[in-house]
Amino acid sequence: MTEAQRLKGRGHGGYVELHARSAFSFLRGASTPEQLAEKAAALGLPAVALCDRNGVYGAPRLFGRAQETGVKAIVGAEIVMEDQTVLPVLVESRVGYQNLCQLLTRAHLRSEKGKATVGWDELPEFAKGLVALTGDEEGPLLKDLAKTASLESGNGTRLLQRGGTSPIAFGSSRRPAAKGGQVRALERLLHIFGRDHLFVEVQRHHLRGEDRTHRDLVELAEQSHLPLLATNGVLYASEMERPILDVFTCIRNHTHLDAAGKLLAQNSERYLKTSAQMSELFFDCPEAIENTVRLAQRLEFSMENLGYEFPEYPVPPGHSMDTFLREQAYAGARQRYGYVPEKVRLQLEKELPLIAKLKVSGYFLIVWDIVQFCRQQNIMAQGRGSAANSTVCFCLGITAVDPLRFNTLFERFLTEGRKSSWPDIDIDLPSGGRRERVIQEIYQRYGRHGAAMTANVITFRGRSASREVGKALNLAGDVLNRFSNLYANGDFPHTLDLAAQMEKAGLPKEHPRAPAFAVLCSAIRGLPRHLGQHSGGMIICQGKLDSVMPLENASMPGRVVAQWDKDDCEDLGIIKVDFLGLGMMSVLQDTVELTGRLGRPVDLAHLPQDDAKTFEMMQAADTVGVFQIESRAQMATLPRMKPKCFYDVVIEVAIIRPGPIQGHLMHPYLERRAGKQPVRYYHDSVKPVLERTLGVPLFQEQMLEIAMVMANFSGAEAEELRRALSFHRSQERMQKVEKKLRAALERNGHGPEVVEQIIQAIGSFALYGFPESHAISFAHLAYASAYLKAHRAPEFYASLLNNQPMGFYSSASLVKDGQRHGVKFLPVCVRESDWDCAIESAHVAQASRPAGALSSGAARESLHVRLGLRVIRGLSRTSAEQLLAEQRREPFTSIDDCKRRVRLNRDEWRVLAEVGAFNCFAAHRRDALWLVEKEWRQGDLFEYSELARAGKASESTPADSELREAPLDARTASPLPAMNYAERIRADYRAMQLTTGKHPMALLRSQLKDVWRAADLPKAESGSWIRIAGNVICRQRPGTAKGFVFISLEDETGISNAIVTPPMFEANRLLITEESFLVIEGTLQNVDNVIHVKAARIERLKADPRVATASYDFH
Amino acid sequence: MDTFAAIFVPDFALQAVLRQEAESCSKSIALVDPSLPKPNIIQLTSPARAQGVIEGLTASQAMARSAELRILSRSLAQEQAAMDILLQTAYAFSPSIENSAPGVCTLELKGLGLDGESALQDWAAQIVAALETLSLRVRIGVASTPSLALLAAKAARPTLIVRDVDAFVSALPVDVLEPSPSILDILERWGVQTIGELLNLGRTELADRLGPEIVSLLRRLSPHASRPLKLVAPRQTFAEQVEFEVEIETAEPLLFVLRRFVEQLARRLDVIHLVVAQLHLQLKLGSGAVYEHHFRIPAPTADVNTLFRTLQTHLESVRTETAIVGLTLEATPCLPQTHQFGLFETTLRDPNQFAETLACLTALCGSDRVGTPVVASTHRPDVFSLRSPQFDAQASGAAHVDAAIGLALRRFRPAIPATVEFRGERPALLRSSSVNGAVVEVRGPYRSSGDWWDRQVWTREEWDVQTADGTLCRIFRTGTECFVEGVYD
Repeated sequence: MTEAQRLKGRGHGGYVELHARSAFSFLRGASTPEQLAEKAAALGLPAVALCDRNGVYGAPRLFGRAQETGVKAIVGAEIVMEDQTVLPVLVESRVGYQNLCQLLTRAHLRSEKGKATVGWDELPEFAKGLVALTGDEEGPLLKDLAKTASLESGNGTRLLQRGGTSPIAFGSSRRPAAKGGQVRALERLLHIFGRDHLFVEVQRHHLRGEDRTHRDLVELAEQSHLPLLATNGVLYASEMERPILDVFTCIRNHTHLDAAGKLLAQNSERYLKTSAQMSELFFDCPEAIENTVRLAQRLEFSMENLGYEFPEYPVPPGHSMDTFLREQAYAGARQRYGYVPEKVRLQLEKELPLIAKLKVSGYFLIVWDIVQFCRQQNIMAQGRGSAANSTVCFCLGITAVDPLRFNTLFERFLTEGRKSSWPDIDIDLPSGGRRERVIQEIYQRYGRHGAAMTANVITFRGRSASREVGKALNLAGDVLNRFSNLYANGDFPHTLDLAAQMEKAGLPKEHPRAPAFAVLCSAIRGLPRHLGQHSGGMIICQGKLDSVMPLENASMPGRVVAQWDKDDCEDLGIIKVDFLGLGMMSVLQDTVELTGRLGRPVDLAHLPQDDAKTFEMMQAADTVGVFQIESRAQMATLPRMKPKCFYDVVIEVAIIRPGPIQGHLMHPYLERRAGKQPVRYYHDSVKPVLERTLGVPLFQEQMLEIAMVMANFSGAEAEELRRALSFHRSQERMQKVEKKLRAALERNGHGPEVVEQIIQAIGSFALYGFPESHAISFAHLAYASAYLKAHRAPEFYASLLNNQPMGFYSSASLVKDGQRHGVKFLPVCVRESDWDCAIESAHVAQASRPAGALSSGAARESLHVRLGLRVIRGLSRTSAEQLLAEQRREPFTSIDDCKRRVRLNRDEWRVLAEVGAFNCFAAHRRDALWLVEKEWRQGDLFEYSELARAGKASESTPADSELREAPLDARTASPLPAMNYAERIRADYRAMQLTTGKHPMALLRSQLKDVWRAADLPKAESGSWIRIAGNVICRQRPGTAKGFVFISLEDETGISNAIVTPPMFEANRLLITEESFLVIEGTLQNVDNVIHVKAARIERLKADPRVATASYDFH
Repeated sequence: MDTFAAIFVPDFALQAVLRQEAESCSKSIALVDPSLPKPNIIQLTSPARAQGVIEGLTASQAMARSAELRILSRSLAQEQAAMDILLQTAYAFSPSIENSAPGVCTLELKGLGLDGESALQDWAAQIVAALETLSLRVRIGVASTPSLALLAAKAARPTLIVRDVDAFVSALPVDVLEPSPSILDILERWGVQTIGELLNLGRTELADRLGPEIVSLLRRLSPHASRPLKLVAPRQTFAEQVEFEVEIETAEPLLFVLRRFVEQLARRLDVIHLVVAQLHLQLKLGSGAVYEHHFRIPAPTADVNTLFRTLQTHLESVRTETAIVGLTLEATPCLPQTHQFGLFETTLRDPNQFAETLACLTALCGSDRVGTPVVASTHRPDVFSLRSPQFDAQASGAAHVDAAIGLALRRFRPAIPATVEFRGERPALLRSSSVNGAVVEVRGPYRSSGDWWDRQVWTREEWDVQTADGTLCRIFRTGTECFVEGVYD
């Protein structure tokens, strides 16, 4: 069947909807592109064109679903012009597509986010390959006609306006011409696009007045010899979705439904209609319908044909990219191993030809080049993800994991079956400035039009959906607040259903708007709200990326973002490199630098892999601050897992994931490891695959191998399975692969029980299981951080504090953990502190030294962490830098000296005094507070300024010298009493949210006679009834825990954990979520040294909430 | 020389809200101010405090500490009423009164002949008692300056006469001086808790550090730093107002509250020897509408039964469309037996009078039947709202009228039910009480729908049809019913 036959063959005479907007027009459309494609298929429409506002945001999704449903996806866009008219254009050819992308990019990059417009003057440059429609009521033609008619109405001519209230003038003579030749907009469009590429668009929505508009448009088309084109200006797939559009209209106009009036749609007619419906609607001008099919035939561009090319790597003369990659890989191998072992050579010879065959050598070289740049810039970079399965990546230095050591599956990374997608290399970088430097380097290398971050589509979620819908429905603010508050700090998957939540929020189901609220909350959930940028995914392109997709400015200055997210890019075969920022990479790099400066360097690449102290610490779950294995759930597993080698850490990292937990794989593994359960395999054939995980599949690679071994999946099928596992968006894709796998397993004679087990395990991996290579990369960081905690604790804690916020624990908890490990934390001091927390040794601390300088060879036991000025809230970086610069120039001698030389605001002086930063000059904190408050006299300032101008500021005048050298007591003696201990702690928390003094619980201990301390819990008998108390530092309700809540309480000796049952939580919800200090009473459970208290009674601990540590809640 | 007294209403905002339900003071109740960016607890009852609730907590935090806690919102209208009561009552005890702050009234004692401590104590006790009958618990302080009197009032239980100023102020906490938050913050960091500790720091040193504000605050502590009062006359408006937490749907609870209002107003007027000449009743309805009625009392009186009967009789005939969410009763007072209305009254003597008459009409005819029609901004045809007549000459400019388009439609109000036979989706035959016949020409259907989010959801299809006799009319169908909406000229 030819394309023409296909387009005409479905439905009546054939109709193609050529003007549809999806929800990717952001609040201007109510259906997803996928819904439009499905509906078009269901209605028998052969094709549908998506014209989203100022973009092609939804085009890949429409294309993807259209391919599956057999509908042709036509690309288009509504372009907002400078006069705020909206011009729909359709893409005819690849040139047209490139023009559209470039035009939109130009408009977006020069405009504020969401306010891009195109100038009429620049349109001709990009018109080639595009077909323009004259548009709907927002289009240039109708707006121009309305303006003309409005002017004429002043001369007694009738008004041309859509949606007017007048009846049709029966049998009356029609107004002579809408004056086709004289309509400026049409002339301009004709001039730009030419007669062959312009259609007069007609729409009918059963509205009064539209017949007159129609007649005018027909007349204009006749006079201008332009074809008519019928569209329905679709805004939603089915009429049921019109309320969503009305709500979106309210959100867009910052109003509510009761006040929106005529902003809302007049009826529900802008849905996707059948060919028959459209033919009936345009019975009087069938050519307008026929033209849709003719035009659709002409629009031959497809998203398959994007013309995307990854940049080529410039190789030295005499090399191709393949040969250069080979050379570099072997050179790297020699560097890694000292020579090229046979095993490595064989693997390289397996990988390199495949890389060459798939023509991705350039990709490897470019990533290698970026990693080289990081090395040169002293930025830690570590490849992870499936790239860690590649020996080529390892040899090139992209990844730190030797795949041959762990026998990881190369096919997980690259197979011949990958037709449309590229290999995936993720690079972990230290978060913050270092990562930004790498990103900016890429922009610099490839240009703002050649590289972009992938988009992150921000969708309506539970809380945002309910708030926006509630506001649109004009529900009371306090009801919406209550509704939001009931989410606590996250969505609770297992407790309140929507109806119960509405009831609790004060919106009973009898409320007249409750049904609409409930329906709409569900309906808009998942629809796009706006476009953000992905945390690290970058795409680059040979030539110009802006001819592949439109680019926009991100909210973050200096960033350009693509209109598609990473899944869309992957679907269309666009190569992406993820530059992910990891706080722990920063910590590791900072720690290594500090240890180097202190003369006790650590080489992360050559850490001893069997360090007893590190494993002891892990086995005791002493892992606060350690990457990945510091969470409560990890800590509850470590004593059972008892890691003894690096691979155990790999498993530990992978096992506490929703995938293995929901797939009921975690407990079998731990039981088998403890020898409480025999090791079994699904089938003897998978023993080599599952042996290292005791017969339990814990990694994605194992799933693929099982499929290949037990179901004879080919490389391509395994790739399909991999994509389904890592593709979070589509359940359908997963189901499809599952079905295929089940059939193949059954075909191979496996029993139903085994098939079911495998299917269940694979299903659970779709819920975020780790690939082994990824787990190995993470385990490296986990092991390295644990090692540094064990052997370089002061430097490690200082670096952790310098990289907050990150991880699971607040600065306050980290300081307390450090203190429990014997690290001394020194308070902030204006003479000693730098911006960052730094390391001091006792004798260095006594001497005056430039800030930041560290003595080498300091005795280990004397290393302390000096808190940096960064921990003070309310002291700006600029002020701190000013202070540090003056201190470096000449050490301060007194508070007055400090005040004379540095300009801070009053609050900053106060906060410095309050935390004891001036204690080097004052008897106590209040002494300093008394001094800093003293009014700066104009005379003093003048005198000092004069001195400074004369270049004598640092010289002492007699008076100045006298003041500086006066005995401290004489100048600082204040009538204020010194702060007591509790006051000092309170002051610390107020200014820094941490204290170097005692834990607040230590001060309450005397009141807590029958309360157990965290450190004493191992001594308690399992099953005994006890009470624990502390500052709540973590509240968790994991989706895998069936509604159980875990609370971590911190006291002066450590952390104790409690489990709260769902009914208990519901009964004490506010107490648990709102109070900072709790007393929990219940039965102690000690299983394999994992200690929990099963809460039976919870009450508030009367303590000052101002000394509470921030809690890490409901993640 | 004791020349000033201050009446202080502790937890004024809370008392203002709870004045109509004095029994609630013994329950766990907290007040929030919804107008604040963070509507935290601002005042609370002692039972709530005993359960650990404190000022500054969020509503959720407070409820975590007290499960039975009732959270109320601050009401400026009720605070105004409470302030009126305070000033009006104070005015009965001294002609020189000052509206010093919300919940604070200062009185000048000079010339009242209150010689001796016992006379002062008795006088103060009378005020406390009078206000207690009006459900306001107050504290009274007497001292030589207004500022010291206020400090005394804050420390009083319930009355305090200050003799030794130095000893008195030294023990007071610094926050009674009501310094700005920044000064209070500094004092807290310094660990200064009492005024005595503050004074010990030295006035010059304090001025050096805390600037003019502290000087001004400390000046208030001087027994010689008096100031003239800014005298006010209490408002002659006597109103009681409440916003119901639970909507009222029957007369009984409404009459219960009204009776309390009448009692309160009568007591308030009784204290100052006035009687009620007029009553103005306002009922705020759930729909947002307000029902109002104005009552002239033929023989002005403060008799609770007489006044209450007047209201009750009227309310028996009142039906509201939606439940009542708020109630205001305002009394216009007069001196007893000094104001008598005649048998006949002239009307429309001035616009105000006319407005009053219209208000009566509105009460009689219904609020939806008096006013100027304004087309509503909705796609629903023929919907309008009534705007109250504007008497402002400047505002009554020419109304904007859309240019006429096509034929004029003469609407039937209400639309005339019709029977329409359809051929397919096209009207073919029309029968109604006004237009009949075969349909020879049709335009339409024109579809519109809206208010899908509400009970008033509507949907309709319209056609313009021409019958065989040449009549042009508009018909519409909603659900299964058809109507003739009007005929075209």
